[in-house]
Amino acid sequence: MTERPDSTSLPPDPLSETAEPAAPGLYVHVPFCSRICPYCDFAVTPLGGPGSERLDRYRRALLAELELRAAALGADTVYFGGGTPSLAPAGFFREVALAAVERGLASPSPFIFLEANPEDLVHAPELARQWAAEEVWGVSLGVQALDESRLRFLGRAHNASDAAIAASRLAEAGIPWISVDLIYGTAGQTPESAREELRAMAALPGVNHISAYELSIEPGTPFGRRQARGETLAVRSEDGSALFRAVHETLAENGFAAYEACNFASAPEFRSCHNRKYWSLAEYLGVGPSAHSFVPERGERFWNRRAFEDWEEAILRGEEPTAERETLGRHERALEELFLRLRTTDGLPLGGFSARYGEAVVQANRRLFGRWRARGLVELRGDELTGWLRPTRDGLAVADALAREMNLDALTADRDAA
Amino acid sequence: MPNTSGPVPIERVRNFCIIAHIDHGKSTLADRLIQRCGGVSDREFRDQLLDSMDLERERGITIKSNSVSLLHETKDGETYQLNLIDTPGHVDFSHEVRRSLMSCEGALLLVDAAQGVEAQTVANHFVAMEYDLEVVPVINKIDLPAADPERVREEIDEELGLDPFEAVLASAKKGEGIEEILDAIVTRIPPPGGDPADPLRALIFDAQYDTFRGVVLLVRVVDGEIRRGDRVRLMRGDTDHVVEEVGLLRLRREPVEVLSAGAVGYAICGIKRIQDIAIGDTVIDTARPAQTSLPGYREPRPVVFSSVYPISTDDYGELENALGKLSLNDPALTYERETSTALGFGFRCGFLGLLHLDVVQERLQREHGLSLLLSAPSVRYRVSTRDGELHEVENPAYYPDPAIIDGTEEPYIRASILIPERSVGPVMELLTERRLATSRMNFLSSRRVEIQAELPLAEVLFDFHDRLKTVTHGYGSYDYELLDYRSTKLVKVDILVNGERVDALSQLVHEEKARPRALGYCERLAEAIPMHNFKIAIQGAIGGKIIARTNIRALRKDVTARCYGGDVTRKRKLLERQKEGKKRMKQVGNVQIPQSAFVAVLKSSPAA
Repeated sequence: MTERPDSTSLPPDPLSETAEPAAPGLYVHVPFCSRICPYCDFAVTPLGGPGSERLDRYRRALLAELELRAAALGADTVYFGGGTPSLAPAGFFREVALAAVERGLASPSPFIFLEANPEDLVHAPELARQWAAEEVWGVSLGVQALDESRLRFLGRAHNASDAAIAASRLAEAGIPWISVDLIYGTAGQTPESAREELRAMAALPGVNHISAYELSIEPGTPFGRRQARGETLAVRSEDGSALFRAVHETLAENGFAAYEACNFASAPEFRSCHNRKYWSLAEYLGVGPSAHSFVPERGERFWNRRAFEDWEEAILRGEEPTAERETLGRHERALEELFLRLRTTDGLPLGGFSARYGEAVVQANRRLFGRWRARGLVELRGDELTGWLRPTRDGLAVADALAREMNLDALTADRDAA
Repeated sequence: MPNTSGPVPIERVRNFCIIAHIDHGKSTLADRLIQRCGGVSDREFRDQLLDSMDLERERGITIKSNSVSLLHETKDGETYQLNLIDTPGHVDFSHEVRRSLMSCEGALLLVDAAQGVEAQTVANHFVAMEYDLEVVPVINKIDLPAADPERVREEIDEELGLDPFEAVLASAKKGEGIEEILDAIVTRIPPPGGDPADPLRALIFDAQYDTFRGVVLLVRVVDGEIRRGDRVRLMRGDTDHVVEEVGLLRLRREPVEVLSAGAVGYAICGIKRIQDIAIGDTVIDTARPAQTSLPGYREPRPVVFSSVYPISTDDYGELENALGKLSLNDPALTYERETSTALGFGFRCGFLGLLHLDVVQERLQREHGLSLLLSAPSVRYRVSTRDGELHEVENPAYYPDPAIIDGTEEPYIRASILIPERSVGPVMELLTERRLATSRMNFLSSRRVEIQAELPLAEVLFDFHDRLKTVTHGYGSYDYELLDYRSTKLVKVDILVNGERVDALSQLVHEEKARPRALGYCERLAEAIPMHNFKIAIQGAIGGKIIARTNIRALRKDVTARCYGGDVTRKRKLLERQKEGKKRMKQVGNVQIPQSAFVAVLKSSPAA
């Protein structure tokens, strides 16, 4: 870590037509939260007070995992996700990033991102400056809502003014990339009330990136159990559609352009250079409990043990804490590429897709593409065989349906062979 | 266990069948009689049944068929051979019931002790009387809490005209009354007649197929004798066959030297294909041919038609195979190949009635493991065209251009409906809704009423039975017979999805019913087709005229909320499952229609 990155050294756009293949990414899962949100199904475990013994065990095991997984990966992003990374003690992010650089897993001066809860920045006014000193490039704030009753419903510990204070502290500390998360689609939310919240969100100090996700009720979560008992927690799917439109329209009106179905940036350089790796099938390594990894060269995905103790135990035995691996067949990989790329406004490069999976697949879907275009779901840049299919806003709304509609029969033989 | 060695003399043979309304316990009683006479325990019986599925095919064990020879030893030590002849228990099979009854001298008339005499019981009893059978009433299920044997006795007296005190009380389930039933068979049903010296005439009342032996004819020898080595011919065929084996229908086929007049048993004559025989035909001796056939055969006349498609197009071959097998034992079942743009390859099938259709569908699904789609049942219409030709049309696909149609006729039935007195109002309302032509009421005992109603057959094809049960709180039952053809006003209703006709949903309906029927289809289809990313119009049309319409709104969102954190696998697997489900959908124009939509629309129809 020699010099702090600035806006002239932005990472290359991994999706652009001319860019080199995107550099790999490193994801670090921080599995602790001070309280568990009722909708969350990520691998999290409550942390009993600051400086607890578990946090220290986690830090040591994490560094050991980096050593176990040492390889010439050269990630240009190190993303701390959770859980609540903002609970981590001073110096943690820099220490882990440096260790990753030393093990060859990250290239020197990687872009460091972390997820933070607004209340942590409110309670610890020095936190933002401390992160800036650790050369953190971007912070994603888990704001989720600005409406007080929605914040309570979502079980969040902060209020709307906390969110504003947190954002301004990050901006004052000079954190270059400030993102806020929003969850829409809670029961009772109307497009009008959503628009109001989004306008307030877009106006938070220093914010240049917004992620807006529709609430999904996952089995095994408190919300999942409440819904199973018959409670209505989320809007009906057709109202979700109206909200999707309201979100996209309001954010566009307020200077945030969608570049993915749920992600918006105030300028192209503020697109999340880490998350975009997932959608472009770039290589990434995940460390920490439940973290997922992808090795495009081998078409392999693998993921870590989910429970903290299981993960730690494997590492203490000197073993990689991998829970499972899968090798993608051509069919599976093609489907992944479709549904991931069709979530982004860059869309699907037909030439590249042909080169990877055979021209027959693109040929077999030409009429389908024609229908998508006729319905205004995609636009074609370039020609029908080598151009890019770029989803419109309506197309992003139905990206999964588009991926499902694609005929991949030309690949079936390979899938069986795989 | 009775002594099985040596043939039982004809005076100690009894040929009988069991006739009953559906669910009055016919199968259970048959099983009990087999157990009692076969001397097998419950446990063995069950094991044998379970094991017999493969054995049955391989070795011709006849345990599954209810046509079986039982040996029964009476209290005075005499051994009787009781031949139980299977009868189909359905209203549609009146001819099959007749054929079985022709092979018998007596019948057990089974009446449920709680349900009492039902319309079918009456119909069956009339047929039994027609053939001069000795009828032994059996009041079954006396163990039920709701059993009311005294009321049922009254009904047997007043509605069937039988001596109520001759009725045997039984619970086949609990094995009660079985000895009394066996005694009644022996003492009240007469032995068969017929002269063994006459030229051979044997009625084929059923047939089975054996992989190794070919066709196994189940016969009732009416005159003469049939023995191994005889040369025989079927009256309706022109080939001679050599009898390879004759025998009795014990739990396994039990070969004997000869079957004489009065006997019931099987004959294997080297016939390879079941298509080469006709149930109801007469077996005669080539050397000494009888001149007149037995009155068992009738050209099957299907009256209800439906298109049958496999849910999975891969199953087409299996469906064809299964229909072939079923039609072997069921000459009334007709089928011919048909193609639907929506559903692919299938068959237009003809049935004796709705119940026959249900039975065939169930057997195809249960015995052959097929998942099926059936189009709305149709009757056979008579359409005369301007050029003076008469067309029989039962398939909407072949309905002539209305511009050249001169007139149309549809089949009418006489329905006999037995209901409690208090249900007369609602039932008359239902009948009026069903285009009732005329009706007559007979007031019976126990506050019950029989309505004789003339109405179009097509009107009972759609949920009539269910509706009747509903409006009579479960107490109504009906039976019907075909009457004649009468003039009607028919239209062909098409269902269009985004302007494309879904051929499998086209139907011929009476003018008055067209709009409600079309609307019902549109609405149910709209519920069952998932949203697409464009608006879908579902319309009902007569020719170019739209008579009903619903819309499916466009899907506005179909994208998973969160897709980051790197867990792509779970998401991909979900999509793969969804994509797999999509493959099973049928494409009509640009709309994907899931099989479940066809099932939802076709399984029953609105009370139009």
